[in-house]
Amino acid sequence: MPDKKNINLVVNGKPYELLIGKDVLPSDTLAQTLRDTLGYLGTKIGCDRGACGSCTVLLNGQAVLSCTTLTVECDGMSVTTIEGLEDPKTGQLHPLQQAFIDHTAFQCGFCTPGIIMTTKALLDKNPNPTEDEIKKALAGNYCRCISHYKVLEAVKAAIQGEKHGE
Amino acid sequence: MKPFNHVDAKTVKQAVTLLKKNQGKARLIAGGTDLLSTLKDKILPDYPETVINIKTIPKLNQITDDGSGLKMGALAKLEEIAQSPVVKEKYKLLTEAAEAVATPQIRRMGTIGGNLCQDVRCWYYRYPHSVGGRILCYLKGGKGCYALTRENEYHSIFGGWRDTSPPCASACPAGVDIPSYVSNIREGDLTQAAKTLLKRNPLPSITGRVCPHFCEQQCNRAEFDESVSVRDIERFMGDYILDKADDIMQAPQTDTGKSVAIIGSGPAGLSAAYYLRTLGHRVTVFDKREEPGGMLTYVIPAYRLPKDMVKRAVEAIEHMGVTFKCNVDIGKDITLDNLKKDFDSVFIATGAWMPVSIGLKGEESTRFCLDFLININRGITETPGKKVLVIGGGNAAVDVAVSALRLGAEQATMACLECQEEMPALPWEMELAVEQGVTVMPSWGPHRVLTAEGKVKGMELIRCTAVFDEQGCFAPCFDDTVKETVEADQILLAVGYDTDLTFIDPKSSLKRKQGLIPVDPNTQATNLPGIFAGGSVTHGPATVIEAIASGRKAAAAMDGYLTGKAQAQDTDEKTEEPFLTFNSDYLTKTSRVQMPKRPVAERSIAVEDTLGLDLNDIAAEANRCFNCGCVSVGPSDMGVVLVALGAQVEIAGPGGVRTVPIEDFFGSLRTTLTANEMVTEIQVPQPPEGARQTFLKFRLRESVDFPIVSVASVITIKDGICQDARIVLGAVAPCPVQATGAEKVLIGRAIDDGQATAAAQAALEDAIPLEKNSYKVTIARELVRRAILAAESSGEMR
Repeated sequence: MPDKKNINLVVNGKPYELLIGKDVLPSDTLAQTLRDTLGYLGTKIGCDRGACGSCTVLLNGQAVLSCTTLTVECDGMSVTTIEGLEDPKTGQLHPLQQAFIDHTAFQCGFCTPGIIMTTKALLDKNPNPTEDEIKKALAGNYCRCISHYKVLEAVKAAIQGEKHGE
Repeated sequence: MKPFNHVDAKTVKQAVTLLKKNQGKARLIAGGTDLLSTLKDKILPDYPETVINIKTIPKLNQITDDGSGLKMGALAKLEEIAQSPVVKEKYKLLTEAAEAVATPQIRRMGTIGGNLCQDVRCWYYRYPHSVGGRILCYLKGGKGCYALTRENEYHSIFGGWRDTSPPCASACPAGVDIPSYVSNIREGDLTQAAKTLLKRNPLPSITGRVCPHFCEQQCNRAEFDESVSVRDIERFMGDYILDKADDIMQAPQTDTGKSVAIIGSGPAGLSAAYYLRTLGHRVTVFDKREEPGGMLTYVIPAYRLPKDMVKRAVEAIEHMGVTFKCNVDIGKDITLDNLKKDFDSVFIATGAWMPVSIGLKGEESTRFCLDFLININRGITETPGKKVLVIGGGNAAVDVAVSALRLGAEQATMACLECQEEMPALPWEMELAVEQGVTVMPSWGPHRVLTAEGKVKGMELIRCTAVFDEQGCFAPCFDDTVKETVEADQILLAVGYDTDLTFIDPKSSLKRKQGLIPVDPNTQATNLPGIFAGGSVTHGPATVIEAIASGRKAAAAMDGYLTGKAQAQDTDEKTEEPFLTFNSDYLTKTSRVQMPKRPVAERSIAVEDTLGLDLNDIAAEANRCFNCGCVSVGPSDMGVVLVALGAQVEIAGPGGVRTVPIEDFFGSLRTTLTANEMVTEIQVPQPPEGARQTFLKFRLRESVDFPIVSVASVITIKDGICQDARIVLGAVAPCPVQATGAEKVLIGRAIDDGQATAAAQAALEDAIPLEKNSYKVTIARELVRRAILAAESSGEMR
């Protein structure tokens, strides 16, 4: 007896209306909906148990785990995925994305969208974090290729870039 | 995930009402990080049909401090708690613990209520179903705990928890709590062991000799080396109880004034008499034979069950104030109707004593096994014949064959339909038969009795090819081209017994069906109010322990009937169960104790074959019991600090709101929340002025990981002297453990390194680590020491 008939969701600025029972099931996770229903394949499902952080997206600006969030509970909310970072008009990468490329802050890249989204949420709230604050914020994003030290470089460079107005 | 319905609750009341309405088929979702993982991994026994979202309940996430204490709504997110200035100022422990939970994302989603209510965090229990099938551990209804002998860094060092009935107790028809009484023996408390045993079985001296012990077949130890000999332990305890019957089996303190008649004094009747008397009723047991005890007295041979044992068991019950009236034939001497008028309630346990006809050619020249066995027990010890053939493969057949040889028969042969593996006789009974020289002929069916000049000469047997059909129903198949002739001058039939209901007036309205008295399986009640029945007369021939179980069940229901109290009295008073203990050497492979027996040549018809064991042997055997339980630990970091802070938990249910101290909330492996309840608020009293709060969490990685050990302490030091201390250990036991020993060492004393070390020692004094996790004791000790010294150093600074 679901008490809602549909879900209104804004993904990367684009509004969607999803019918419960047709487009989404009450048991669908946001990660499933983003990838399987809406085609945002940038969001990765790693452990699917909330431990690895690969599925991190911004929900109303907060970095959350889309694998342990039910889509039905996101009605009226705004989601940002990795696809939402580039400039919609020019297609230019977000400076954070560019910094990750410039510093080769990944090897296989599977964890990268999650790491970038967590970083984005951090910088939105605190544009000038200390190294310790960056480490703490990223403590829920695991990289099995051990690229964390490169990630730190990339994030710090991105912060510097912002400061210099790049 | 499998599909479920999803409902948003708008109020607490609506949430608990929905829980109740869904009758256990709904789960609450708050942060969702734990619940959704358990659903994905199919860990819960029942997959919920509905998930009730409580995030939609307004104002349940507020954090307020009114000066006397802190209140946190159950939906307060861990990140909100970690960042709350008011929490940081006065309740530093909460800030530190909240910051130490899992990862930033999980703290952003997870709530304090959810953290306290999260499911058990054992990786065997949590093993994903999708990866090679679920690990059916003890907690999920399986038999064993995998952490006992394998990797167990996230497991207890203070014993386990028995969340559900262990396999042995589940297998026992009477549900005897075997591990508990065996633990009592291990601790040297035989009186308590006797009490625990008697709760479910009033005749252990008898079952310790004749019970098939289904419990042993389910014993986890069997996979490790050999099952625990519950039989021998039980026999020892049974004899101990009879020796001390005056103390242990006392008359009740109360008298209800209600009278009960029991027809039949076999195990079902004796069991009902014992439990009804214990409850304060006036009990009279009738039996048509000269002596009480039924089959225990008249059928089971004395070399297996000495008659003195039965007598003493009956006497013990008699001394409790039960009246036995023998030589009374109900139906002739008193009618059932009159008995019902004279007594407030009646229990029928007349058993099954009649021969079963198998339609054999010449069956009239065979003999019914019970006649033979009853005669022996009455002292008529005739030699049945020179060559005896017994038809049947059960214990009675063995009894007849062995008895015949001991009475001078030259040859005894057992022929039965079943093949060797299917024979219903117990293995140790068969051993006895073989030792005695009985010839066993499995897979043979009786065809016709051979006679000459009116005398039995033997029997023609035909090959039995199968006894049961595909459904497991009795449907024997024969090949009559394969024949065998056995010479015999006496043929005894031991193929089953029938009930005799002729004592009931044919016009009586008491329901009967196919020779049995049908009863309610939960209460043993017949169709007539006040009349109950149990034992073989209700289900056909079965074991002694099944009869005992039905007598106990009937007694509980009869008590309800007699006193008008709500029924379902059939529950043991729930005692506060301490943690289960494990003995240090339980994991050494050992052999099962061997019951000494008389040499075959010395065995006779009247003296018990087995010699019994002494307390030393029994204590050693008790030491082999795994004491099966679950050794996982409470996973909540917040729970540990809340115990240190002396918090209260507010719980809402359909009946209203209750508040419990947090340590009671975590009374066991799982929280005390009942099916339709939810946590609504956590209340934390303000810590004493100047108290130093410390939270230390030792884990393998500084993120995500659960603690190997955690410590939360609230210590007040004034002028260098410890005024007050509360130290709580996490991840070391099924629930947070308050280190009261350490607190005692500290309070009233100056704190220095030596004192801290002594307190740390005391904190872990009662630890009983498992084989592979004793290092946790060392870690815990060091954390306690550091927590104490942290309080001391801050005192210096001030």
